[in-house]
Amino acid sequence: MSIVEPGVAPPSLPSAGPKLPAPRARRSWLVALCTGWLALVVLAALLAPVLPLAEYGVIAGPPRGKPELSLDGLLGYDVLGRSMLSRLVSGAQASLLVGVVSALIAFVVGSFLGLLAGFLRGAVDTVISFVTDTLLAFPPLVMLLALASVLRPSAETLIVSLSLLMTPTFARLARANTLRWASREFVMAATNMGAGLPRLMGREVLPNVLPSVAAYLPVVIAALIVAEGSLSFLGLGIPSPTPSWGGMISDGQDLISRFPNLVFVPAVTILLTVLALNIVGDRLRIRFGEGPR
Amino acid sequence: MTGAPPLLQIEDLHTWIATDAGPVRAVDGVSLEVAAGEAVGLVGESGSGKSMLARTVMGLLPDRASTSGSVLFAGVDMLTVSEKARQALLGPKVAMVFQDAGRALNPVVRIGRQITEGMVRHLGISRSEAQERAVGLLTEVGVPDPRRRLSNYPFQLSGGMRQRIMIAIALACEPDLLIADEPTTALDVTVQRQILDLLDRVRTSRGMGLVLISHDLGLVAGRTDRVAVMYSGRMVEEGPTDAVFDTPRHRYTEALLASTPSLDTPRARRMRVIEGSLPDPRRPPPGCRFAPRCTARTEACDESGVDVLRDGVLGHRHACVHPTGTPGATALTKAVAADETRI
Amino acid sequence: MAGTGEAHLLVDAEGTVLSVRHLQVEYRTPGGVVHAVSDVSFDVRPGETLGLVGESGCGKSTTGKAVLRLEKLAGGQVVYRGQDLASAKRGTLRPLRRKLQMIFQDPVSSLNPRRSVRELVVEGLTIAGRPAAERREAADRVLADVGLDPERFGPLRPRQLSGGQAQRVAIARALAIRPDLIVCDEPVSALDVSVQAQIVNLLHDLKDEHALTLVFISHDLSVVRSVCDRVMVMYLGRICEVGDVDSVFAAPAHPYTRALLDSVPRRRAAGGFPGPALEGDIPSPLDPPSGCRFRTRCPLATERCAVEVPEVRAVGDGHFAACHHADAPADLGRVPVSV
Repeated sequence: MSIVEPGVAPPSLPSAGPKLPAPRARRSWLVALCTGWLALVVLAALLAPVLPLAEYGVIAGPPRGKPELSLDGLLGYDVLGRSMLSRLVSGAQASLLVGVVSALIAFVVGSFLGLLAGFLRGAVDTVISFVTDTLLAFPPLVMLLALASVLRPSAETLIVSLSLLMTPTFARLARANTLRWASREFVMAATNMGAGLPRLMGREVLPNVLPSVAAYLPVVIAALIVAEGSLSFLGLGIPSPTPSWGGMISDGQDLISRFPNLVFVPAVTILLTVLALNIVGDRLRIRFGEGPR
Repeated sequence: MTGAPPLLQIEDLHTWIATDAGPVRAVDGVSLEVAAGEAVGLVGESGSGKSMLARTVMGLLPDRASTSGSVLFAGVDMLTVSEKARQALLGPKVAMVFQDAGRALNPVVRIGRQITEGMVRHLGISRSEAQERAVGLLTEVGVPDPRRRLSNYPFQLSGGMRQRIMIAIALACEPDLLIADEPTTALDVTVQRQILDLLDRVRTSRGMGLVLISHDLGLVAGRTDRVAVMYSGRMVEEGPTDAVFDTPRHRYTEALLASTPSLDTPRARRMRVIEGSLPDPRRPPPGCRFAPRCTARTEACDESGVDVLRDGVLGHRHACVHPTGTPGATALTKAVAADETRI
Repeated sequence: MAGTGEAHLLVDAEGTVLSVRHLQVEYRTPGGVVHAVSDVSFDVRPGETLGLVGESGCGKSTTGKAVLRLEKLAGGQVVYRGQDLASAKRGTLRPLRRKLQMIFQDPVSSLNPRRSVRELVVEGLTIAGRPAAERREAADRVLADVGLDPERFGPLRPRQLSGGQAQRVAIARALAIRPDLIVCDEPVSALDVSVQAQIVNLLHDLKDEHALTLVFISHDLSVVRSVCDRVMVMYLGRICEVGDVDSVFAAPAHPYTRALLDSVPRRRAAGGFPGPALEGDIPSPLDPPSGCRFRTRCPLATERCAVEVPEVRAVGDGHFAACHHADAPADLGRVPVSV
């Protein structure tokens, strides 16, 4: 390097520095919109009995009536003249119940199995992994059809079969996360302070594994709402007269060309809800789902 | 030292990275020159900006980084030149060796292809000729059985061998300047030694410029002509290596040398410490960045702009308001006095 | 057997905190059995700091973990104050384990990210089911001990700490259950130079205050020299050399120790290094060389080294080496003055 000649003034004061790009715009409005929609759906489902709507089973207007400017008739009337809005709101109860409850059951059972497999390894891992892999290898629709034909169609049956369908997914997720966390040194430190297996698994590893597994819940709920729709469409869903979104599509399918709103209304509701769940779920996954650094 | 322009001339370089919590001032007004054939050490702790400086020169910055100032390489400003022109310089003019050769090498491409790729593109030679040169290069960097190694994948080699391959790739297009960013940090001492010897050998035999970046003072000391010390994005001291290590002027350099255990200094059970920790790079102290941890701090240290490099004897510059010692005295004797205060 | 021999061991086991005998650790991998630690014996004396040095793959970390039964032992004994940990059942092991604590290299990874600093440091007491009042008091005490303000740092999570602060928390956690011996596995390697000295001094002070014995595992010879009383050099799962830090660093008897020391960059040496470089790479632990494991890279190797495993034998006062060619250094008399 060249010697700076004596007497030359040192470089001027620190300059202002470069212009920086503006912080990346976040699509938080989209997430907010989706959260809002989900809140609306959940609220509608919860408040269905007290909303000033005709009961879903009661004939409130003309059969296949066009939408009109009244609360009951806002979305038109179904084949029998029952209020579409009322059926949609009550259907939210069934669809959400099936989706959320089966997803939660799968989450709890799957996380537990995954934790056991990932932490204990060895024979336990071999058995659990074999069972989950076998279940995953089954084409889901075939499995659901098989279950539905053996068991009597009902909300409970639906929940049992759908949770069975999703348990392996959660088990694998939990197992992979457990493997990563269990090799962390804080687990070794706890072992060395005399912690037993229940504490190591329950207090050290599980609290770290759960958030990243739970981040997948919305996406799974979305998938299950679609699954419920498909099963109801095939007549294997919740038996009528209890409305569900899938059942409403099934009821309206014959008249789709003349009265598209009979199918259109529940289909769009499913679409929006599933989309919202996926967008919110993605955000949650980015936030919590990465597991250890 | 003559009128010839330096090989690399960095002027008042700022590299800032935008984050949600405000800009990280990774490099904040740094000037550095490297002459042809010269070995310059760039020393600092994590967060000092030494690696970001190298990445700026190579154009390997993250998305949200912005720069100002100039980085002249052979008369071309690397900051403003077109992507295509810059690509043409990387390889034949300036090349880089990274800390983690395991990650820097492509895991699914054979060693031979990774070495010859650049030669075919930049030097316009045939693949078979490049293959022959690659064998020569591997021999030069001390890889045994080079012909067979060409068909290996990176995972089949040890860490030391991979770092040799990285160096061979960097040397393939006969660069004028090699930037080595912590080239031996991931390696064991005996292997580190082999790699440092190798870098020395190729530098002198090829007359290549070398920027050796490291957190390890001892490593830089024995094998560079000049050394620059960075702290929190600023350059605090710069000069001939022996002068900087024998008579450090900046309080940070002095404290860093004293708190680094070395086989050269007498054994002391309690080490001298630097209190506190590095400043937040988003909100650096207004004046001297080391002031909050400095034992010689006065109000003058907190004034904005006091940490500019001041000229000294034989190009030994420092940015300290209260420089330690007088040039010529051995500051190392002070290192022995153990610090008695608790942390 | 290799790097075996008992010359360096104390005849009187009463004088040791920890006596490790014929320690053996093996891993089964698809490629075969990795001999991570092979027949390693050593003593740790009360109040001392024993350094374990060597390059990656030498088995120093594995030895440290095996001593605490954090690795499966393939053989050998680990006797802590008269009780064999290697054969201890889970029930007897648990209280003994608490006397032997460990500090890890990566301070952030060694702290559960879901806990606050205050919860972390008393984890040992929580596991032992101690009352909340005692835990609160202990948290304040140990945090102050490691130089962290309990008010300010207590509520923080590990990700809010710097590397040096996190390592202090890890040290406080070990201290809280009043251990007898702490195994420090590369405790300062992940830290910046300026913070490294803080942690080293802290360990040094705490050792005096709490009458601790330390096993200090490190690849950094300069740090080991300043921290340890005695040092044990390992290569490929075997002991090369054991002795007082001053004699080992001043007059290394094993060619590997010499090569290690010659590989540390020095400012004053011509070319940056005081001696010749070591050639080649470390052999695979799947198939270690016969006889002396260092012989493939050793400048002194002879036929005998391939056939006969060198025993650990005395080469000076309190200085032992496992090499057929190590002679008692002639200049043993002038042990350098330490500061």
